[in-house]
Amino acid sequence: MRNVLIVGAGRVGRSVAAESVAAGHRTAVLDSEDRWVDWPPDVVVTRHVGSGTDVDALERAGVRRCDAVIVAAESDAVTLVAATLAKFEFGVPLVVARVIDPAHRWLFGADLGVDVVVDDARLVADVVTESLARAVSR
Amino acid sequence: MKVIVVGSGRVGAGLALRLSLDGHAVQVVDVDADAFHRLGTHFPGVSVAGDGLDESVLRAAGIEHTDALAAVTGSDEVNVVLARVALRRFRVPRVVARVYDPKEADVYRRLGVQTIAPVSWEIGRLAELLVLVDVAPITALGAGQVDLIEAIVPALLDGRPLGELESPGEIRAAAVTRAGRTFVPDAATRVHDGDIVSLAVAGGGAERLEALLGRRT
Repeated sequence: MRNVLIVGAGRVGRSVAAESVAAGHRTAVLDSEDRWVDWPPDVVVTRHVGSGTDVDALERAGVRRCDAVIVAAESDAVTLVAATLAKFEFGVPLVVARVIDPAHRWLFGADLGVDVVVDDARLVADVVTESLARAVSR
Repeated sequence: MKVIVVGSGRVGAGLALRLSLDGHAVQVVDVDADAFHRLGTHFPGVSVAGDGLDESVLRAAGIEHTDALAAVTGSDEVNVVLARVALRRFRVPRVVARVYDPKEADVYRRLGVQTIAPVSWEIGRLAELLVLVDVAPITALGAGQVDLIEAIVPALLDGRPLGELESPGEIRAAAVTRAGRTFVPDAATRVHDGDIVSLAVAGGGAERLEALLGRRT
């Protein structure tokens, strides 16, 4: 069992939280108050209210004990600041960050604290390209 | 020098105009092209419309060859990310980010980003002007041989000639602020209780000033 902190209770945060809980990890989620409203009741996580760019909020959410932090905040800049803090201020071993705007993909690197990038636009494009290729070759 | 200013708000545009007046080659970047109206019609620099976190926009503004970059958009996070990228990826020699949240500004400073936190600066300044100190250093002139100091006139000096606060070669009054209005004093100016007097004070003159203000005897 690992300690996982998810920053961002949006669509991506929820899906990741559901998977993390199902995999048996101790899962906490940090986001501002208004983004908690339609959190699915069956996904049981430790909820923390606050901003991912606030060091005190991260600390309260247990960032120091985390094996992994997954950041999917409401803006790429917020995500990158949260990732930078998680990595360089708190020394989290694994930092995963989600890109919203493909034009910002180049920023998601080790110098901004990101170990693994999730680029959903890219993922969708890859799946589409692959399916098309398969359909054509059939 | 070549300078990039990202963010053409009041501060960004003001900074860009000021730097170009001083003869620097300025590039201003803003995601909103309408923001460039703040630069006026005679801005000699270049304005680049685009997202300051987009690599192609930064390259168009010449980030590879710039001497300095100021990140002064309306978002603390954008400013910090931009500053870190300018430093780490493009090796821009001088980078400053504006951060409104004073608490975060300290953290970013630890992370190697030079930040300016106007809010804490303003709070300090307001506190000085309101209550905390009677004699506040404003800035050091030259290499610090002369300080510009603001002093609040105490009640016991009410109505006395301003000249009584001066001392040849040591202390010279430059301006008086009274009821929110600031003026340059002349030989006939008398001070009132609560006036703020701006004084140029040579090293060593500070103690004498405190004595003249009645704080030391």
